[in-house]
Amino acid sequence: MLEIRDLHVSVDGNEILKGINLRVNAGETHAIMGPNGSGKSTLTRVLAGHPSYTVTSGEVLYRGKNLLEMAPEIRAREGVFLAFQYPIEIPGVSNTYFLKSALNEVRAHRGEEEMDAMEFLGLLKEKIKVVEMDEGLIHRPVNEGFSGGEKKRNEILQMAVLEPALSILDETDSGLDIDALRIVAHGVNQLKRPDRAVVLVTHYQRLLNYITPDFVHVLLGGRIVKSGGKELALQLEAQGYDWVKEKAAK
Amino acid sequence: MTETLARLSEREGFLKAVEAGWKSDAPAGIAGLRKQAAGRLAALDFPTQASEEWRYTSVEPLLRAPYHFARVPASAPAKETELAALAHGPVAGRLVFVNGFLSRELSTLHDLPGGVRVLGLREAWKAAPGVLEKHLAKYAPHDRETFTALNTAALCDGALVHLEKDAALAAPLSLIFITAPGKENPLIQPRNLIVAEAGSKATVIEHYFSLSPDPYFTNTVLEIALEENASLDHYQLQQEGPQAFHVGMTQAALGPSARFASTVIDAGGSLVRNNLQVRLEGEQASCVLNGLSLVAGSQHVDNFTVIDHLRPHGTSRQVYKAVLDDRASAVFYGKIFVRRDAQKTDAAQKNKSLLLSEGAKVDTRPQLEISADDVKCAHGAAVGQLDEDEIFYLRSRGLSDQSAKRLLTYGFANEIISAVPLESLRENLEGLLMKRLGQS
Repeated sequence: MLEIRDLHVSVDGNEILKGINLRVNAGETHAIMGPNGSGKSTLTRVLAGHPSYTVTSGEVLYRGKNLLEMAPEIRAREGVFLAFQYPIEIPGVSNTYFLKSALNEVRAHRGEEEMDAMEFLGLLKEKIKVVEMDEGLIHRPVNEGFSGGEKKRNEILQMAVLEPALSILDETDSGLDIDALRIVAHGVNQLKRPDRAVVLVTHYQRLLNYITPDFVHVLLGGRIVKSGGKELALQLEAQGYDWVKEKAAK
Repeated sequence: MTETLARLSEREGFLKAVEAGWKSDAPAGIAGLRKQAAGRLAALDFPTQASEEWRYTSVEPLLRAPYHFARVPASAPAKETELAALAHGPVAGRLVFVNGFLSRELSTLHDLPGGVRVLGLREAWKAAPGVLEKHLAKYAPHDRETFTALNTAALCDGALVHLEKDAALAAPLSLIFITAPGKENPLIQPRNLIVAEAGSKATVIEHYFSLSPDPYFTNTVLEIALEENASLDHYQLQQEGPQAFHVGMTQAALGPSARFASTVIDAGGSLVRNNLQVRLEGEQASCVLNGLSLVAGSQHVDNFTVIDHLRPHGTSRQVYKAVLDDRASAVFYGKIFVRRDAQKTDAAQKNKSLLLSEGAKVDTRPQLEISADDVKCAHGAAVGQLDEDEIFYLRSRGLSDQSAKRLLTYGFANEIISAVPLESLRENLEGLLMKRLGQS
């Protein structure tokens, strides 16, 4: 589904990603772990098409197509979804209106009919239950005045409505209490299907207690320095990153 | 006969033309008032950019144009369907003015509740002389404001809304000012008065709308007197023609515990100046002033507002926003006075502008002048462009770059529109906004 080949990325002339290689197949869940500043967020934002980053070399294939050539909205319509680490507040635009517009753009791209307001509200109510979100929030402006946990749930709600093929979650677990973490994880697990894939970027192992990864990768200094199964996450939790750093240095 | 305002330097011709327009059926009080204002008009100069209050707006183009004094058009220019489009849901009635003169034919008033009078000003000369004598020209300063002197010197028609003690209008009242098509470049000068006696309550929509693509000049004055505990929700919608000049003076005087909520929406006109001055003369008076300017092309809109806290425990809230595209320009000059007696005043003022193009320009000057020591005052201004991260967020959900920008602009303006409690008016404003953003 996703193939990243020797990806180099700079921002303002500083190279952040220094040759990433990663292959994600349909049906798989990958966790990318690493200390602060290792380039995790950069990787997710580049995949979503944030304009501040410059890809200096390498390529990214998504379902066989060149992802890097696509505008951010085309990536979204093709089924790539990024759950933001810091979801943006959009004053004056209701959550419902925004999400309905987004869904209809995605549907139009897939050649599906536009969903009317009634139909959409029905769908939304169903999805809200999955993330156990307060129904009042859907009529409020997008993320405005939401608590940290509410914002993260709102990301998962958007994901549940848009049903992406490739979900990328950027530290969705940060700042969540244990209940919210469980709910968010439940939302992600509900979406799992053999024809979809999930990439989780996280700092800590605890999210992986709820969403079991098939593969764990350690990102360090802009490179993936170690890959393994889910037991790697436990090892990192117990021993920290130093041993990986030392090994990588050798 | 046409006259330019610039010729006021010579005065004679213009003042003669003003006098020629005086209706002979006016009572002595009105005739005296006009004469007095004409005297002031002969002595006052039009403002220049040398004055602090007009620093960012030049009235030169407005003074150079030759005007006809507007007359009542021979036939009604608007069809019922056109007027219906200006309706904002169920209303208590509408007064329709064509080029500043009341058209009874186009106006409709349903059964007004007891204690409520809605009249054309000329009708009021006979029907409500007491109210006029007590309130007309008592609030707007024709002695020192040239445009107000000009309006007062030619005073003839407009709307009178009079609410007696404890009278209440459940549905909003619509005052519609239409400019008829025609090439004679009319000078249109409605004069409006709203008097709300103690404990009364009303909602009034003042709507300027043009059927004319040609140049003309609307110079309008609205005086508002709110007595103790009176409450007025006022909406001013300015959709003048693309070549129109519009100068408006709204002067409100608030008694004890009176409440004034004003929303000013500017979407039309080529050169627009709104003066809104609110005096909180009684204790615990409160006002909410919201404004939204949607300007594009080479439009220029200048909002000049003064909130004057004179007595203790007053509250004022002001949010003015502007969305500018192309080479449009907007000015916000917002002054808040807190006088020595106005202890425990609570005032907050905010001005925000969104620039959608490089050529657009904003001048903003929020100002506080505080002479009391126990007050709470805050003000701020921000001018900015659409936020890149916000655009990216929306695009990352599938919205095109253009839709994302449109939605963010909508969201910016919507702070003012979503605050409008009248559902049908709010929907009309949303429609107007969408149209301006290029989405039907």
